[in-house]
Amino acid sequence: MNSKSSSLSSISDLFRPNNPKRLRSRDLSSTRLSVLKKEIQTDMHLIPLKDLFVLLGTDPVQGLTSTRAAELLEYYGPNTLTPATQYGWPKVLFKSLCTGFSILIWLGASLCLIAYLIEISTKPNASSDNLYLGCVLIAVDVICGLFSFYQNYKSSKIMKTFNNMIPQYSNCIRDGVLNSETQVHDLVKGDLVQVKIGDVVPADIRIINSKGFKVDNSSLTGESVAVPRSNSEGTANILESPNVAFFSTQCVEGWALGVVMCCGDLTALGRVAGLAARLQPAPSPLSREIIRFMRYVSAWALLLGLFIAGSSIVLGYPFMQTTVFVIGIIVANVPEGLQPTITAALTLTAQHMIKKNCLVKNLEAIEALGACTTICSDKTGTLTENKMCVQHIWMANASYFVMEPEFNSLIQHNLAFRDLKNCGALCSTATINTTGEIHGDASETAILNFFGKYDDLKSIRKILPKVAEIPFNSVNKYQVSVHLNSVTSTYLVVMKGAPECILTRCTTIALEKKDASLTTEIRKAADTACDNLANTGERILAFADLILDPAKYPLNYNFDTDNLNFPLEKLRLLGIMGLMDPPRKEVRRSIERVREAGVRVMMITGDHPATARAIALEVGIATTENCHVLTGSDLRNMTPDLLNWTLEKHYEIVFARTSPTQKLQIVEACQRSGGVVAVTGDGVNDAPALRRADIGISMGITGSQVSKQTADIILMDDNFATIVTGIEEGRKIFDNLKKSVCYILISNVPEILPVLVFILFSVPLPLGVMTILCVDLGTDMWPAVSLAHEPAESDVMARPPRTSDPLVSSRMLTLVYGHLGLIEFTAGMFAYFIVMAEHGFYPAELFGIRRYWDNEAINDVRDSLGQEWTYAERKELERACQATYFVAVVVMQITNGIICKTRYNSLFHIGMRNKVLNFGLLFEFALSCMICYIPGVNNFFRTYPLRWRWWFLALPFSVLMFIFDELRKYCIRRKMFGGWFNKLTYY
Amino acid sequence: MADKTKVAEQYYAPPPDLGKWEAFRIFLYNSETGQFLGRTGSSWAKILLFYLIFYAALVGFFAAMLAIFYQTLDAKMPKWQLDGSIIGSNPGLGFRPMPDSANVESTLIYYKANDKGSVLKWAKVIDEFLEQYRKKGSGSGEASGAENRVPCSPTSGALGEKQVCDVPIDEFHPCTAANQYNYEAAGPCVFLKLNKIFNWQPKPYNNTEDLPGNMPEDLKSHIKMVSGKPEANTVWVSCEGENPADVENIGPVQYIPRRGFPSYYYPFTNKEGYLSPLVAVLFEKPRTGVLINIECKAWAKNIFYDRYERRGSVHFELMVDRS
Repeated sequence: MNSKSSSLSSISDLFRPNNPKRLRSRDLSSTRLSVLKKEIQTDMHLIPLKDLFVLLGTDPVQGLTSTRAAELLEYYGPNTLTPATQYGWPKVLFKSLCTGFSILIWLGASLCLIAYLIEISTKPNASSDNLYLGCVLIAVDVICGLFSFYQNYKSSKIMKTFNNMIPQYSNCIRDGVLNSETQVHDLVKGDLVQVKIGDVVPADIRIINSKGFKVDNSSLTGESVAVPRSNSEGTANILESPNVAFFSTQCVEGWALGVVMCCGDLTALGRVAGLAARLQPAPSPLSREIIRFMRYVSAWALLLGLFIAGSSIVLGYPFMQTTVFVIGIIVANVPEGLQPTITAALTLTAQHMIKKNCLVKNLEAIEALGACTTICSDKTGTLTENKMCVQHIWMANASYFVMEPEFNSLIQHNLAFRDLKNCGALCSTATINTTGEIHGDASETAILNFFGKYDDLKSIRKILPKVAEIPFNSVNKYQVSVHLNSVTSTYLVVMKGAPECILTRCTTIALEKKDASLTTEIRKAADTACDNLANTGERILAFADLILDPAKYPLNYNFDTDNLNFPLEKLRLLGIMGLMDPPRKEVRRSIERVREAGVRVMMITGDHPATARAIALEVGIATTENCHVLTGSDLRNMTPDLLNWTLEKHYEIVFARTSPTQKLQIVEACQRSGGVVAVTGDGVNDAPALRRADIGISMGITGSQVSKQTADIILMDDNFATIVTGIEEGRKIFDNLKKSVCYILISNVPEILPVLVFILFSVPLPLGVMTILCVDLGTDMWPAVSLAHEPAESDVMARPPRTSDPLVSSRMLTLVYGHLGLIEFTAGMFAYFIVMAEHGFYPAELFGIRRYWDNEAINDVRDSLGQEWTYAERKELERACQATYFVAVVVMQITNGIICKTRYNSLFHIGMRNKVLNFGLLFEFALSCMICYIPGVNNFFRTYPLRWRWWFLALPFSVLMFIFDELRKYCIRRKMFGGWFNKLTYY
Repeated sequence: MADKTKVAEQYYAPPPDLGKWEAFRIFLYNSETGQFLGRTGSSWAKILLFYLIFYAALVGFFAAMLAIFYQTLDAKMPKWQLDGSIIGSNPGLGFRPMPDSANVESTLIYYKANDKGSVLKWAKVIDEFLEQYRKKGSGSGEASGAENRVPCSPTSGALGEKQVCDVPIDEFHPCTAANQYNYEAAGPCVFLKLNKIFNWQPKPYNNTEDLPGNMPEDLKSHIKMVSGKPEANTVWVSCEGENPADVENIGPVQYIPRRGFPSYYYPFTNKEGYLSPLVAVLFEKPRTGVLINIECKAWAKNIFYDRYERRGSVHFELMVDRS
């Protein structure tokens, strides 16, 4: 007890305003988070009320004094939900500017600027080339940074949505005076509050006194069922304790007086909200891979840069020359277009998904869905419609399934059904208004809806007006009403309730044509029917009636419901009805397909184990009767290891009666064992799990605001089948992203190698830094993005989720750097040598020429034919050669776009049906023309208006590459040479 | 619960966690499988063979393509000429002696007139440059095509198919090797040459008409003197100090053997033994101990001048010390 209260006080300390523990704001946030992840530990609902009043220092009649309340408010802070500490936008912006490749590009840019500064300080008329390049690199960096900032910086609205659930005013008793306009955020522990029908409970309260008080706990359990709460004994689990009403739940019936046990962040809702707002979802599998890949590339580029810088300084190159080398190496190694391409491809898929009624809020979630290994689904509202319906009827000694087509004809002339219908219409507290709308609790609404299909219930109610009523309560477990039959001038008693209560009171039973006495056999049959219905998770109600003897009970007889003056025995049993929240139609098929795709589906619900098991069986989450069902209290006693072990041992698991925190624990357990977890949910209670999951999926129609706010994906039509489409799209986009990345990386090779050739063989630079940027961020972009539009190559749903299949595999790198990239490089070098040769510089002449070529002082460099070139003329020729190299790369990349369309099949099999890609390739060509020919633009990008014949130089190589790749794929398909190519290059 | 965890141990056995170093060592050489760097010996052999063949084929294809392309080229003539080529039709100028190109982007001719070594260094650079001009007549070990050189004069007739005009560098007194190009006398010679452009034909200022306004007065008067004569068909040369101070410091300038490049040397058509005509610029008495910025320009109707792009001109600095 001591430890509990001490931990309690430490929690409340942690949530006091003004940071009492003097922690750094981020530490405070994480400490709060770890505290919130624990289950609520308190005994405030168990100790006698008297002790509670002493503990809270309040008076059961007078309430707190205003001064005491003000003191407590000052100490513990207002009764609101505290938003999580968020990074300010400057920090996020800074992070966006310095992630991934940005650092390398910043390095390149600063090298450019340093080189420029050295140049202007040493030379009288320094060229501004380095300044220019530096500015371009900075611009690239800033634009990419702003782009990812726009992606990353979403101010979290989660807390705001939670705060919307809280009322403004409450009825609070202080100093013995009831003030109906007390601000909810002024409430403190120990306040007495009154809650009436329609009110939202303003804090976690323990009931002192109540009448017919019922609350809808859906914000915490996800089940919109009105549960009675009264001043009774508490149970150990506070969430199920019948003497506590929680913050934000709505009172649907009666009234109550309660004492506030805890406020704000410490309430059950506050904990859910705190978790949802503070939890950081783990980075998605895709971004994990991109980060890993970027780290490798950056390390490689830096290492190479350092190596080259070191060796060129050792070899005695001047500093300026060294910086040129290093800048070239860095810019060439970094695939600048990777991040924008992936983002654009995902955006396109997201837009595609919107057409399928799937709103993707977090782009990477769509790919994560493809990789997902486990789906943890909420039951109510996700797998089911969250609407009670009559499913089965047992009457006249037979069971009927109401969905059966023959049902209508079977009951047409059934007297028992007529009486059952009357009983159902009358024995109900639900109201029907003039337009036919029904207001009442879920079961009664379901019953009235069901009978409404067969008769006009309003006219039945008119003919048989209600004269007395005993409402349902948890002790009696039945409800009774007495009606006057104005036609026969008799009174009719109708009764509805739990079968075990009703059956014992019945002596006769209504059969199809006549009444009969309730024999033991029939009673047994009724019991079996009840058991059967209960096993399918249905809520069972029995109906009975009794026509009172007009002699004993004449008109205007005064029925007294408190001291019963009419019989509730010897009734006539009309029938038994099974109600349930039926699963959505498409769910079973969808779960089947999801499971075929190797994804495990688990159910996590706040509902009863039996119902959960029944629904699990019905929708196919469980395939056998004895699937493993774990309840919240089982979970409570489990260590994380044991939970992991259980998850591993049982494939089909249903979690029932779980609290929001437990949902979160299950998700985290799955993630710990390496799974990628999707959570579907619609309620406030799902919010932490939705947030923590790799993919949070919420329902668009029935989902709560909070769940939509925390989810990554929203199913706009609540259709579970959309998840299947999502998995399919996610897997497809992953396959296609591989192609995009492969495509982008291939052009990296002809960018890196020229720099190496330049350094090693001292030829004039074959590809300039500006043109590298043109390829990476210009011509390559559209084709790379449009590869994401390729149709799936094989049945993506027929294979298990990827677990060890990375985006960038060593096979892809082998193919890129060892094969295709090299062919592209030879094409570029060929084009370069040809243009040089056509102008008089034969290849042999070029090797080692750089010291003269790049020397501005030398005005007469001789070519192979004796002509002498000034510096300006040489540089112009160099630009022409670089432009030809660029064009060769573009031509090769166009071929490559066609090659990358397929990883396995032959292109002749696939065809060129991807219009976006076709346009992309045309665009690539057009863009490179623009870069080369538009005056001003070509100056900007340091290109040159080429002769048209130079465009064809790369063609033989593109044919070679195409044939080579088709051959390679042929070998892969046939597994030739013992699957040599499969092992080497099948990415 | 304790029992359950025991059972759990049977089910849950993560792979033994190798240390990073251990894993790397096994990657280097795995004694169990005989793998070396992740591959067995035969696997390495196969992959090396594959890449050998693949790269050989690629290089072969590359070479074959280059060879095929070379068939379309003329060994003597550039494919693109004059304005069709990037070289254009506006030659620049070159100067000798040039500082060592390893000596970063310098155009400074600096020496000490009374330091033998310093003088000899520059004289050697010029000697090396003039080597090809010296190899005259036939005989073994000499530059090929030297036998094609014939003396030319403004009045001599058309050359034979193989013949080229000789450049008589021994007549460049005092800028001769024997005189160490006059460097010791603190009056250094700098040799100028016009960049060779295939098939380029000068349009000389051979009379006083249309002389550009920015042409130096002394050159104008020189052209006036020779106007109309055959020797007026010359690409004229002028050297001046770049800034007013340089103009003052540069002192008198002599152009040897004449004030330009006679047009009978043109066009350059890559004939064997062709020599680029030279003008030795003798700075008779440059001020010692100061750096002088000098710009030399070539003058013809089809040479356009641009200081920034060094078109039709050349820039160098001269500094003579006499300590």
